[in-house]
Formats: sequence, C-alpha cells, structure tokens
Amino acid sequence: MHSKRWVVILVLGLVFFLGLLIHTPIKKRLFSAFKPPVKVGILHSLSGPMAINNSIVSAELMAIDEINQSGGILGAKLIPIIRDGGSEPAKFQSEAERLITEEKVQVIFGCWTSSSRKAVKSVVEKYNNLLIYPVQYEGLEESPNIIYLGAAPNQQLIPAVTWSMDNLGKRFFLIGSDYLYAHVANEIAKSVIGYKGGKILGEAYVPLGGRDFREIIRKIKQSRPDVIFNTIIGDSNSDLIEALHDQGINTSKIPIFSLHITESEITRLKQHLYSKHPNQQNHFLNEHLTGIYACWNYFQSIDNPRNQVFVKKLQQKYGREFDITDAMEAAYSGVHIWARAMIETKGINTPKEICNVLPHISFSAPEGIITIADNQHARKMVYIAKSNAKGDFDIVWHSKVPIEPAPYPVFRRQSEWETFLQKQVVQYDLPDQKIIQKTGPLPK
Amino acid sequence: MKLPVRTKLFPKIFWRFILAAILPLAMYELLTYYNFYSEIRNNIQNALIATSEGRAEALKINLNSFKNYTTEKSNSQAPRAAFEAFNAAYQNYGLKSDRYQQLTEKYRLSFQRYFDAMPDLHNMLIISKAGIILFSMRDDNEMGLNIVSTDFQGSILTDLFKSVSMTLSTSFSEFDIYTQTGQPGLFIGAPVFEHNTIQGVLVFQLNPDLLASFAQNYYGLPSTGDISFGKLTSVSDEVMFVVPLRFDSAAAFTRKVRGNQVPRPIWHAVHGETGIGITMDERQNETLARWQLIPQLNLGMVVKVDTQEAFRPIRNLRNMTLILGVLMIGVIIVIARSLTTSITQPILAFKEASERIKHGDYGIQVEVTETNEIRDMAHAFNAMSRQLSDFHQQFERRIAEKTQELAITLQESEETKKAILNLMDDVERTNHELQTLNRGLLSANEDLSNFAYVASHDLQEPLRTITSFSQIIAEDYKGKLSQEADEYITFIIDATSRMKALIVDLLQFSRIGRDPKVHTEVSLEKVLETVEQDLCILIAQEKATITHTPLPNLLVNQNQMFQLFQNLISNAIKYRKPNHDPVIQINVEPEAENWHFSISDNGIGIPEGAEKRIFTIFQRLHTRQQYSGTGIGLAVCKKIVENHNGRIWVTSQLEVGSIFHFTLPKK
Repeated sequence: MHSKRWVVILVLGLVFFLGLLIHTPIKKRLFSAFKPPVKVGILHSLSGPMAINNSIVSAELMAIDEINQSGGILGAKLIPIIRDGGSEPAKFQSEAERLITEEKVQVIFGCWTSSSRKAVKSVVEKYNNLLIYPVQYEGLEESPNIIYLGAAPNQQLIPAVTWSMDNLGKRFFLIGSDYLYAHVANEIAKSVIGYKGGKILGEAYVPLGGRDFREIIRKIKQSRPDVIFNTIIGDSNSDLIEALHDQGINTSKIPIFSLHITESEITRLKQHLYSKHPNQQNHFLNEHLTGIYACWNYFQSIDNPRNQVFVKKLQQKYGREFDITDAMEAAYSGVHIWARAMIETKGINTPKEICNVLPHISFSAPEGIITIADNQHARKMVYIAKSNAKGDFDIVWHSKVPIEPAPYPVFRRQSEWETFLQKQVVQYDLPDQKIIQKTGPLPK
Repeated sequence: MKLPVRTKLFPKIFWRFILAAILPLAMYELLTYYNFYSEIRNNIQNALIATSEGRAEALKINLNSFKNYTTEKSNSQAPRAAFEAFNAAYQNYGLKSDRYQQLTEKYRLSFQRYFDAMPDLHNMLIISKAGIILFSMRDDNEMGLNIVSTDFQGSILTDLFKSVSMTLSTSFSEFDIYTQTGQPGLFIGAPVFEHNTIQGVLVFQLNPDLLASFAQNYYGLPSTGDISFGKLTSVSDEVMFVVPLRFDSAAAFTRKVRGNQVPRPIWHAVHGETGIGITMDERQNETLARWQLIPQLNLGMVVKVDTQEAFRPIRNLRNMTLILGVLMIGVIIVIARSLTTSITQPILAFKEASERIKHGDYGIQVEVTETNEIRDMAHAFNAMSRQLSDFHQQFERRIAEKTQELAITLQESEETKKAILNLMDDVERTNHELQTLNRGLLSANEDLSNFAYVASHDLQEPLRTITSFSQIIAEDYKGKLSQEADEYITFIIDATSRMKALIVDLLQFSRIGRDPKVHTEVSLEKVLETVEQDLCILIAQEKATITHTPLPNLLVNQNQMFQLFQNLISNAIKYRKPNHDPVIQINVEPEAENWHFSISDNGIGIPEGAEKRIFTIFQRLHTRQQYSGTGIGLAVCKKIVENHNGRIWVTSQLEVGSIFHFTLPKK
C-alpha cells in the first residue's frame, strides 16, 4: 500500500515536472543557465604614446561587469578578452584579426586614434565583425561594421570652432599631431573658420608622442593668436601645456582650445605647476590653470543623477583620484548599447542584425540619453567647458538636446570629402592607404 | 436481484478513477492554458511592440526624409542663390524696397515646388547668419524680424538657429509651442554656404498637426488603442503630452505627468527607456502600454491599449478552458460511474449470492449480463453453488442415516455404561482391599527388616560368647577329650564362624534399606579402581583379567557402589572354571534414562531357570564345599540397585559364562 502511494506521488511529480518543461518561460529560464558565454574583445593601446587609454578599458570592464550582474545577454555571460594595440596601427590590425579568428570574439570594443580604427576597420569588414569605437574623431567615415560612440565633427570639432569664434576671437593658431586625424580635423576647422570669417595665423604639427614644442611656441608667441586650436592627441598634451606655461604663454591670456585635453591633463598640469613653483602665491597658479577649453560630449562635472552614480561607481572601483573622461563614458555606454542590441536581436550578432535594431536602442548614459542614428553614429550632447582655478572644468555651453551626428560636414559633398580623405591618407598614413583603396567607396 | 448502488466499494473505485482521470487532465489543461496564455500574451505584446516600432519607424523615415530634404535644399543652387540675393537685397535696398518685394514674389513662386513635393512642409524661412528672417514663404510680417533678439529669445526657432550655427549641421528644433503663432511648431534647419562663407540657415517648418495626425492615426489599433507623444518640460521630472489623446482631445501641451507620482509609460519613454508593461492610464483604466523614445525629436512615444480589450483573447481562452474543463469533468464522472458500477454490480451480486448461501440458500444462481471474465466467474460460481446444493442434500441424507445409527448405538452404550459402572465399583473395592493388603505387607516388611537387624545385631553377642568359649575349649581341651569330642568342637567352631559370617552379611543386608539416602557425585572409575585394589590379592592369586569401558560419574551412595562392584567382581572370580583364568569385562552403555552396566565373565555360568533364584537371600546353587560364601551377596546387590531405582538381572550360558546386567538412572 505504502509503495503504491509513492508510485502515485512519483508519477504526479513527473507529470508536474514535464509540465514545467512544456511551460515556455520556465523552460527558457532553466536552459539559459547552461548558455555558453559570449566572448568580447577589448583592444586598446596599453603601451606606447596612446597608453593613456588604460582607463577606457576600466570603463568597458565595468560595463561588462554590470551587464553580467544583471543576467548577461539572455543569460549568457560576457567574457572580455583584452589585447594591447601598442599604439601601432599594424599591431591593432593583427590583434584584431587574432581576436576574431582565434578568440572568436563577437565584438571588439576599442581603438583610439583614427589610424588604429582604420586598421581595425579593414579587419572587421573582412570578417564581418563589429567594432565599437569610443572616441571622438575627424569624421568622413561610415562603416557598416563600426558603431561610432565618439563625437562626429559636428558634435565636437565644429562646435568648438564656432564657439571659439563667437566667444574667444577670430584669429587662430592651429597645432596638431602630425598624422591623419589632426590634418583632417584642422582641414574641417579651417573651413569653418573661413566660412565664419576667421583668420588662420599659423599651423604646426608635432610627431605622435612628440615632446619638443619650442619651435611651435616660438611661432605662437610671434603671431599672438586669439585662440590656440589644439588637435594634438595622446600624452603629448601634458607636455604641451606644461611647455606653454614654462615658455611664458599664460592660457588665461591666450586660451587654448584642445580637442583631446581631459580632466587628467589638467590634473597633471596642476601637479607640474605646484612642483615647479612651490612657493608661489595661489593666484599665480590659478591664473595658469584657467583658460584651457575643451569640448566633449561628457565631462565628469556634468550634474545629473545618472552621472553621479557613474562617477561614484568608477571612483569606488579605481580610487577617488580617478579622472573620468569622455572616451571612458562613451566606451562604457558603447558596451551597454551593444548589449541591449544583442538582447533585442535575441543574441544574433551579425552587424546587419545589430544595426537593424540600433535605432530602437536608447541608453540613459551619464551624459544624457544616447541613441544611434542611421549612420551608426551616436546622437550626443555637446558640452564646452573651461578649466577653472581649481583645475576642474566648468561647463560654459551645452546643447539643449543630443545633436544628430553628421560624419560628413554639410559644407562639402560626401564625394568631395572622400577624395580629400584619400589624399590625406596617402600623405600622412601610408600604411593605411591600401586599406582605404581596398574598401573603396563607402556604402550608403 | 435488486442491488443497492451505494456501497463501500463504489466510492473507493469511483474517486480513484476520478482522481486518476481528472488530475492529469487538469494538469494538462492547466499547462496548456498557461502555455497558450503566455503565447497569446506574447503575441498581444509583440503586436503592440510591432505597432509601436512600426509607427516609430514610419515617423523616423518621415523625419529623415524632411531632414535629408532640408540638407539637400541647403546645398541646392536655388536656395543658395536666394540666400545671396536676399542678403544683398536686405543690405543694399532694405526690406521695404520694391526690389525686395519682387525677390520675395519670385522666390515664393520658385519655392512653391518644394511644398508641392513635400505636402507636410508648412513654411520655409531664410535666416541670415545674423538671425534676421530674410524670407518667409507664408508670412510677410515675419520678414525682417531678428530671431536672436529678445522678442524671440527662448523660442524653438531661436534654439534651432543657434544649434545649426553652432554645429553647422542639419538639426531639428524641439517640438513645442512656437511662441510666434501659439501653435505647436517643429522646424528643421540647415546651414547654407556660398562663396566660402556661411550665408545663414535654411529653415523648414513642418505642418504643426503632423505629429498629432501621426498620433491620431488609429488604423490597425484596437478601439481603445492610443498613440501619444510627450516631452520633458523645463520643470524637472515633469512630462507634457504634446498631442491630443484619444480620450482627451485637449491634452496637447496641457496635460502633464509628474514622475514623482506613479511613473507613467510616457515618463519612462522620455527618459530613454524602452519597454512594455501594464499600467494605469490617466482614465484610471488598466492598459498595456509600450513606451520608447523618438530620438530625433527627444519625444517619448507611448502606444497603449486597454487590457480589457487587449487581453480579450485570453479571457476567451480562459472561459473556453473552463467550460471545456467542466464538460470534461462531467463526462469523466459519468464514465467513472458507469465503469465503477460495471465492477461493483457483479461483485455485489456475488456478495449477495454468497450471503444467501451463507444463510443456507444453496443453489442460488447469479444473473450476469457481462460477456467477459465476470461471466466466466459467474458461471463458475453458479456451478459451485449447484454443487454445493447437491452436496448439501447428500450431506443431509447422510446425517439423517447417521443420526439413526447413533440413536441405536446410544441405547447400547447406555447399557455398557451401567456395566462399566458396576465394574468400576468392583475395581474400587478391589483397590481398597489391595491398599489394605499393601499396608499390611509394608508393615510386615518393615517388621521383617527390623527383625533381621535386631536379630543379627542381638545375635552377635551370644555368638561371640559361643565362639570365644568354643575356641577356649578347643585350645584348652584339644587332645584331652576324645577324638570325637575334638571333631565336634571343630564343627562348633566352624558353625559359629559361619554363623558369624551369616550374621555380618545379614546385618549388612538389612542396613542397605536403613541407610539414609545420601547420594553424592561419585566417580565409578574410582570406585572400580578401589575395588580392584581391595581385591588385588585375589585377582593376583586367580590370575584374573578385568577390563572395562570408561565409567560415568553418578549421583549415588558411594559405599553401596563399592559393595555392588565388589560383590559382582568377586563372584565372577570366585565362580571360575577350573583351568581357565577368569576374564572379566565391564561395559557401560547409555540408554534413554539409564546407564546400562554389564559385567561379563568366562565362569561356570548359571543353569537355566536359576537366574531369578540367585538374587534371593541365602539362596545358593552350590554346596559350601564347592564354593564358599553365605549366599547373601547377590541379594545385597539387588537391594542396592533397587535402592537406586535400578534393575538387576543376569543372562548366562552354562559352562561359558555369565553376564550380570544392572541399570542406574542417569539422574
């Protein structure tokens, strides 16, 4: 009798269990526990002159962490594979290829510098993989295999120029790193300055990672511009603003508008000034700290609850002195946006599928709501800030709403821009020449 | 035969059947319901999502087409020429000049084709880089106004102008009340460049009702379906509807939702969230809502439908499932009833029939309409019942016969009983007599025993006197009297010594019965050993051989055992055949309750018929001259053995040997 009862209970239990299996939502939850993880590549310069983007990796890892903690992508955990691009386009290219072919990553978050992006672009296009690029750039590019989280020219470069002309003066001295990005950016800047009736007093370039600014500063001193417009990238920027100070250019008198200076360069300048003039009055230091302008889509000082949480979280993880930059915020948001798109496509990760759902993805980022436009560039808020005496940035202007990205500035046709770019590529970034030629005219 | 339907068996089978049938069915139905439920729910949600995405996509395409159109026109020849012409005319001749009027007329005609191509364009403005409206397609009064002046400050057009000037890219204005007209306004602006200089901003105003007409296109939506758009206001956390709602046509730019109250879908939407869920709407109706952001315009869009309507298929499914369930349960009950009855009915019939048989109604037949094993069983039962009935009848007959026989026997036995009673009376009487006799015998026996003791004891004294004096006479008067007298004296002494031996033996014999029964654990091995020692001279003299099997330990009187063994062994040696050395074998065999001892010899044997006589006191088979002895030894042996509740007897063959057997109880 007893054993019979057990059989009945067993059968009922079995029926119940099978029922649960038929019941789809529970089944889904049950099976999602056994989902294989999703590998994602992180490819930045961890060595060389562009090694300052270590912190971008931190932001990307934090986003991956957050995604994993909230259940991953439909139950699949993300596993980051980190590689060093070594500030060399060729190394970026080979590492990207290895990430895709050997590690079988679903996506690559990375690159900083347009040369490295263009190197990786050929790889992701070849393997139909996806690159999420987190840094502002010169524009003139649209790849179906890249999502651009950084600013297009009309989201940083152009507002920086127009704002400078309206607020600082019309006489410009352009300096930049001697490679593709700065030349293209300065070309656009020169056009805008021209259109708005401004004047270019001089134009000078330093090699990537260059430290010697004496000649340039001499020229600047000679021409006495209203604005120094700076498109130097990487750690040379710290040397530049230190050199400006050391050689007697006070930025509160001749402001410098830099497209790549972040909170961390200001902090370094501050330390430099204090170490060099330990006995100076405060107002001296203060004077030398002000007058550095930057235009970004994100500043650490942005006052909104979302950003406060973001800053707190990063600083809890990496320390209170950790400076949080635009690229970090874009990189962080890029990971989240990609993850949301993956959830939307139910885990199908062809760039086509991802890009099909991107218009429906919005992410409440620290800078504001980020959405992706049809040209795979992000709609972004634009903030212009000026360094204050404490060495922080004060926001002096910001757009009312996120700005529609326009990678090709409207004052020239796309085909004109492409012809121009090709020339620039040939001139400044020989290694990338064949990549551009191979991909040919861009889609759309 | 009529049977009650309700029995103890009925509910037991019935409910189990119901349980076995309904439980899996209910489970199956429940699961199916839930699967369908989630499926339908998913479908409903997906339909809503599809609608929402479709509308958003259509709106996006619409807006993009305006944006591209604006960008394209800002780069086209005609507007660029117009910008240059208006700028020049404004600076050179002024707004009120005829030239300017002519220019306006000319371009109104020229630009009319834009409005023909894009019906949703509402107005077209040419704004100089300084912010002066140089040309308005619709309104002459607007021309000449400076939109960056204080009058316009904060208008959406001013913001658009600034944004375009700043980013030099095509931009949308906010969708808001345009302060100049008091109507909702939406503008798109693009910078215009000509001759390497920025000329100004080309602005298209879109139809103010564009979004409302988008929202109010309920095609493909259920009757409670609604599409709404909202935007964040300058007050933090406040969301304003920017289009009429289906159930509130005056909602546009009047109805607000605060986020710090219950978060509404529209609130989620403007905060860049995408989702679907059930919420209460402004009518306090439960609605299924899908919310998402329209990023180009920074508007939240909500598509919703009352759950009452949306989930109607689910309600229908539930009702259908319920009805089906109830029907099924009904069918199951009917089946269970008929099935149970088909099992219990025959059982009850059998039970009833058995009861009847129990009460003597043999031969009863069970009626069965079934055509299965139950029918076979019924046939078997009926056959059994018939047999039982036959048997019963036979049995009755037999009993009647036997009863008669018994009556006769009874009568006979009555007489026998009387005879037996008489017999028993006789037996009792005899018994009584026997008891009396026995008592007499016992008393006589005791007297005899006492007499033997007293006699032997008391006879010793005079005998000793006689012996003493006869010996004195023999010593003192030997040879002094006649030869005859000496001979006589010798006879006397002989007789007295024999008498003495007789008396000693007699005393010994009588003592056996008088000895207190002191039984101790005695090793018969040791007893035999002691006896052999005592008789060692005799054994040596006669060259006797004694062998024996291992002897047991027994609870017995030790002295008597000595006597027993000594008497039997010495007898065996004494009655030897001349010229044959005595060989004595002592054997012990266990029996059920006794030890069986046998002492065999190769002596002269005992003649047939004398086997019992030899155990009688003073009985001798031989003359004293042949074999000495008093003739009391075997009597003593018998008495000892019987004193131990044993038995003694002898088997013998003359001239071959004798075997003396005796038994002693194991306990």
